[in-house]
Amino acid sequence: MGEVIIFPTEIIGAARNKVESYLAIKYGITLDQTAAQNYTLSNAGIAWDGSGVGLFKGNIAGIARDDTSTLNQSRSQSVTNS
Amino acid sequence: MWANDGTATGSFTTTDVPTNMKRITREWQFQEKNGDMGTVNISYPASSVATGFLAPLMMLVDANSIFATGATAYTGVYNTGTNMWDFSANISDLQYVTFAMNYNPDSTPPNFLSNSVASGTLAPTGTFPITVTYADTGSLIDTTSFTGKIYSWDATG
Repeated sequence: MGEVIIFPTEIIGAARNKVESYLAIKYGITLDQTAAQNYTLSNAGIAWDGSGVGLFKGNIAGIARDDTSTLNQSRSQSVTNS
Repeated sequence: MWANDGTATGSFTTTDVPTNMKRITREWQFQEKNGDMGTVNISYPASSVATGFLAPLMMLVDANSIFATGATAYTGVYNTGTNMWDFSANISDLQYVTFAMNYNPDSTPPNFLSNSVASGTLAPTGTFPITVTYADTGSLIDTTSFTGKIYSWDATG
């Protein structure tokens, strides 16, 4: 298990998406796109926009820097190898 | 960030590709948000390159996913330490990327310059190494399929 993040209360919605995006970018994980969802940063800025991408939603990965969440992913690959 | 369209990577085709090239079907779309990332390094595993490949691996970057026209081609550098083909490029938001190879066959046969047969022994097991030297300019020679054939063998003497 790479990382555990603990919150005092349940987080939902946009806040949950920020945390999931942070982990997804850091570990090369594709967030489920059955219903399109963005990858968002701590300031609510969009790192990856899931709307209107058509087929281009496979093995999502990337490099990003977000000082507020101490995310500094300068090198990345998708964990999915296909 | 980047994502792919889930199409094939296993073979090079001539569909939607610049002249004298072949490419894999799969395309990636890059997204660049909140500023200019600048030049990035992209590596493609040599072990994943499709069959029928002629080096070097090329990377095509295009604004609208129609690679036959307007695509910018980057030449990959093979890294023996990582077994990857490395590229450097500044890719912009919503540009498309795929991987390709140069393919420029011509119908002019090569010029054979010389041939020689080294001495050796034949029976019961042995070899007579035959060397053929040729020159061919203006096209790529697919050395993986270059074969020599002996049409007649006169074992007298």
